[in-house]
Amino acid sequence: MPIIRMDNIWYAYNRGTPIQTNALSGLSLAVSRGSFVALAGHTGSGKSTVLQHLNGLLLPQKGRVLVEEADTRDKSFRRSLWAKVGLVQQYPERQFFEETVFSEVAVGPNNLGLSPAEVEDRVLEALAVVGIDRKRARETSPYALSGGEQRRVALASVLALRPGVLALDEPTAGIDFMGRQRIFKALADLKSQGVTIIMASHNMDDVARMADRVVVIKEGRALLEGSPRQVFASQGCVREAGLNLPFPSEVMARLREKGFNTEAPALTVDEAAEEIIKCVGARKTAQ
Amino acid sequence: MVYRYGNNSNNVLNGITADISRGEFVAVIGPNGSGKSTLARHINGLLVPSEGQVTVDGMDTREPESIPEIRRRVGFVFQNPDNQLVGTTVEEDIAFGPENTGTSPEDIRESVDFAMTVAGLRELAGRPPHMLSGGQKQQLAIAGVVAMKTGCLVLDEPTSMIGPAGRRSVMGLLSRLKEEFNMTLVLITHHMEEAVFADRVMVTVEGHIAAEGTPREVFRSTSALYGMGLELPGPVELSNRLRALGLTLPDPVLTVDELVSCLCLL
Repeated sequence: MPIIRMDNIWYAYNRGTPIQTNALSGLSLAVSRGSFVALAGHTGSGKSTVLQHLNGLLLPQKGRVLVEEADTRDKSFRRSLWAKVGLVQQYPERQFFEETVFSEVAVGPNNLGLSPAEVEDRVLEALAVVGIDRKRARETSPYALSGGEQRRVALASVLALRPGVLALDEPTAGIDFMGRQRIFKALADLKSQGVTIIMASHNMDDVARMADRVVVIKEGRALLEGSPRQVFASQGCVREAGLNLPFPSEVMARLREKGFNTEAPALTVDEAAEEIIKCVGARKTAQ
Repeated sequence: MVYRYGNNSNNVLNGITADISRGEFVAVIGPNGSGKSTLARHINGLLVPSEGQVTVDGMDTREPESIPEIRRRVGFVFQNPDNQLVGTTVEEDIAFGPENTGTSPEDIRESVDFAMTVAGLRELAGRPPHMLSGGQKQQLAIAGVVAMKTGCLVLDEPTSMIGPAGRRSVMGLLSRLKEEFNMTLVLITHHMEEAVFADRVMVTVEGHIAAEGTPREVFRSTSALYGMGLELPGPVELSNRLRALGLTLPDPVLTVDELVSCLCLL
């Protein structure tokens, strides 16, 4: 049974006004427990709107969203829903209000009514995951950090809640290479602990690397769904959604156009390298 | 130059010395917190150095009376497109700058038309900025600077928050500004595939310049960049791997086009 089900949901911003914008137009989606689902789509495709439906921040205007079988429109379910689904929004640095990074990350655990010792445990753990030094966290205002570091603090503040479902909106945008590696390692660990992860992204290399399933979203609908290998084999569809192929798939596609005899849709640099060596060898033998 | 945000805090910039020439395209890469954005904000006097000096066309950014002229010469585009758009339509947004510098209505019209044409926004003149895609919003922010006819444009991670299609259009626009209008560009970015198109790449680490050179110098496998924990452009990484596996390829291979044509020749 899927942990999250979205049935034919519709959502428009400024509904009923002359500037109504349809964000979701009959989107359906099922997420199984413990999976890592990537929502791939270009800016304005409706990815963020989908994520905001997961914890009831937005409610569908038509259709329904079920989280563990409970309807997000059910008010009696609201409070437990917020604890279940942790949402990291796209510009998380807009929502800081505490004086130090440490107390910022502690807000959520404090609100859960945990003991001070337990709050501290969770904060330190979350900071370690995103790679923010604990001493610095106690001395520094979140606003004194660089943009990329602020994003990591925002992620830590949601991780400290230990939600069963993690919804992430472009979690690595503006984050450097090492930070990205660390966040992906953390997400892989969370997944192995059974956390369900839903990530909106327009970086297809990240998607290829992390996701079990990819849902390509265009104009508020799911255009295509499958494993990364299946989805990125449908080049035309991916491009139609305004997306790139992952870099290794792109290289292989270009070589295919130039007459390389390869069908493999490489998802990693290693796969691409192996396949290229094979092709070059075969071409040399043929000459 | 040195910069710290408060008297007792650590130096964010720790002895930076650099020249940027007219018409040059410089990309600045480096880890989070290495001082990239702080450096960028010094170029138009949004920040002034705690020690040392920054001059723009010979004008010192520490002299308040020079600031208006410096800002007329150096435009700035921020990461988040939503934080820098003020007009209710594309056209009005572009006009905001010229309107505030005492320009005559005819000249405002001319500047706005010019900027819309250059940025490819003519069709969208009457569109409210919030109805644009992320890429279009950044094109609009750049158009606002173009309308001011500034000779230099500093962009602080302009493509971090936008999708691949938007990124392509922003990069296309930047190369046009350089080629056709000889604009000086300083691009702060995490995307190595953007940095390879610059004339010069500066790598900042902990507030100083740790490596510097043409993309070909900086991304070569013997460069100081390796070991700094920075990402490599995809083609560089893949070609390094292929070379290690025995293929004969140039060092470095910077773009997908270059990689594909090298492989076809093997």
